Amino acid sequence: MNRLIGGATALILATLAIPVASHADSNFTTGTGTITASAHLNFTVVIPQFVYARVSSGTTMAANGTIDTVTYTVPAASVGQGAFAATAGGDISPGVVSAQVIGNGGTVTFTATTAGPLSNGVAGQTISYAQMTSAATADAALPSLALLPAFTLVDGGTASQTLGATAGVTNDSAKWTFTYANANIVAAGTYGATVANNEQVTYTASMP
Amino acid sequence: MKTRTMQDHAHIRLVRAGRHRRGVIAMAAALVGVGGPAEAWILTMKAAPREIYVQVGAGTYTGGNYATSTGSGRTFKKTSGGKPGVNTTIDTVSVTVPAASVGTGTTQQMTSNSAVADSFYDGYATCNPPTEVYVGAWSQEPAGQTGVATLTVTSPANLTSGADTIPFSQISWTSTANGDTTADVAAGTFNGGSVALASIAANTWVEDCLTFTFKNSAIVAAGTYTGQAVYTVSQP
Repeated sequence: MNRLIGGATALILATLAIPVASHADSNFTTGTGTITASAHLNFTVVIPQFVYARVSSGTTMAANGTIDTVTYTVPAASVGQGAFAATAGGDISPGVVSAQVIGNGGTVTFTATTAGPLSNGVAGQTISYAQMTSAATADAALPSLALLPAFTLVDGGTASQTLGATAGVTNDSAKWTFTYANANIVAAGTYGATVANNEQVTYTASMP
Repeated sequence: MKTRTMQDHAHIRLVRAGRHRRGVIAMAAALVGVGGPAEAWILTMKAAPREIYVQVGAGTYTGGNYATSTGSGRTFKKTSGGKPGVNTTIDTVSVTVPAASVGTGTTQQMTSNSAVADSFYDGYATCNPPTEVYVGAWSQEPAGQTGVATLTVTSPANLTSGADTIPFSQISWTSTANGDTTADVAAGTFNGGSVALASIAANTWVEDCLTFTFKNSAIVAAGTYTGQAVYTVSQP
């Protein structure tokens, strides 16, 4: 209703005691009884799609170029004698790293790729990445929706896992503890340590 | 409703008395307003047949503004012949959250497509768009009537993007106006229901400028989330 309503109409509304209301973005209402007038305001929040991955040193929701190195210095008497804990490396403690994947575009594919087994630079002398086992436990420092599973690494290949999403959001985290299985007696040497000797695992999070 | 400074009290008394002795009052109000500090204002209107008006962002007045006023307190001087109109343009308040900030809890400033700076009360440059959105409402009553109108805002529970949602309670607002020390329209946060913004005395115009922020407290799915708030003035 508005100012253009004639006197006769206004009289009828008053008689019937019908509340008078109108709606727009500027508006006015006249009449007797309860009268209301409304205006509207629209709201829009745009959330871009993103995916974030962290393994060991990192900054939440930001790039961090630090690449950590997990090191096992095996005493001579322990070579080939079974599981051996890391002696250095990892942002939490030796062999223990923070791991997190966050995304808001639905299911995330998370992969770990190596160029080949760890080498000491001598042809034929290698340690398989299968010997670098890892286990995931909850990381209270990185609150998340789900535990981020650790990988079984593959020499010269890619291990992959699919991370589910809740309401379009993936937020998985864990502490990954790396252990050298140390199942075999291998030739003396420093395995890895350089990119050429396949020291590096590349973790990649992607959304379709 | 207003900051009760001594100067403001003086204004209130002058305006009320002015209905009976307009010549004397106009002079006194002008003296108070000249060179004075910024102050809360009371935008009075003449008694008239029962009518209410609300404007959020875009609005329409035909035939000029409602009145002319004097002084920094915008004391009513005389009507200008302007009449309220219907305007169906709905303005939009929006924000695009940077990808690296999604869900970090860093409050995001929102802006709007509103270009409304001036009040239809007297043409005063009340707001600073597009960050600020003008909100104004008034109630007129015949002489002797003292009914109090209310201004409220109602929101749905969520902004939506398909099946994904963001609670409307993630959006808050502050309220201010150029030269006004005390807001007429309350600051607040949407609650998925109704929020009281102002009580409007008979023959009074209230207005302020709202600046909105997005709380950004949770990671949500990518998308464009939309929702609409309804501002309603009601005179019982």
